[in-house]
Amino acid sequence: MIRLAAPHRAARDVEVAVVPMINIVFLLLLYFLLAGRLMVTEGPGVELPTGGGPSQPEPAAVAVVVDENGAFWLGTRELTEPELREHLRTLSTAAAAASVLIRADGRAEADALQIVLEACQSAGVAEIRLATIQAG
Amino acid sequence: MGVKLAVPSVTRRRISLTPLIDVVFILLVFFMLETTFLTEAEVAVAAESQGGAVSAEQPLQLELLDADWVWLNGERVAYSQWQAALDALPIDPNARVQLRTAQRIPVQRVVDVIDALNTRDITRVSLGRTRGFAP
Repeated sequence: MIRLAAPHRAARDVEVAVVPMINIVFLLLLYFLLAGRLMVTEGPGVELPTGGGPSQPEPAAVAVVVDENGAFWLGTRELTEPELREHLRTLSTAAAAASVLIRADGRAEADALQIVLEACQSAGVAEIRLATIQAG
Repeated sequence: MGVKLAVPSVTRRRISLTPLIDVVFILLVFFMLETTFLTEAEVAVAAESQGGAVSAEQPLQLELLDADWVWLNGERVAYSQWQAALDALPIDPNARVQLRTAQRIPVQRVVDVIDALNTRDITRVSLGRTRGFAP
């Protein structure tokens, strides 16, 4: 009979080399820190529609979020339609040429978008932009 | 006769690696989950002026009443063909476009249409609701 040698393993071989692992973890950490941006987690999560040009978005004075169900949010606060109108009115009187960024979910109905647009218009908001995710 | 200060003992302790690795892993997981690589963009729109202030120029009329069709200057065109129909029209880039949508059209469709207009250098798009008839 052939005698098989018992596998000889020193405890040191099994041990994971810690220092290279830390190096790689640090590299991954740096990659995510530098290459990515933190997501906007304020308010409800919306799936923005894809599209839009390569123009660099400028920060808007106010961002109105329209979620999937057509509800309006300002930051973490859900607004009713009259509250939204009132807020936009006070905003546009405070800043002469206010700009509004509408972050509408791609699955929301256009009716909700129209309500925000009408509110912007009656408040005299000069610039209205729709937030999108660049395709491709 | 100075006061004798105790010499600070310089026993250098090695940093223990395990808690360090724990913290780094937690940071790594946090950034992996919270980071987005998607680029945000924007499209400019205007709200359609109410009260019917009719200007001299005749704007291009686009209506989105349901998912399958586009009404281009009142003519019904299949959605898959509307961009070809748009290219067939003589439009200058400064033209105004009135885009009117029915209630149930998803925002994604509205953005798709504005995007197609923007790629043809038509940037003056005003959004409004459909008036009158429904299909």
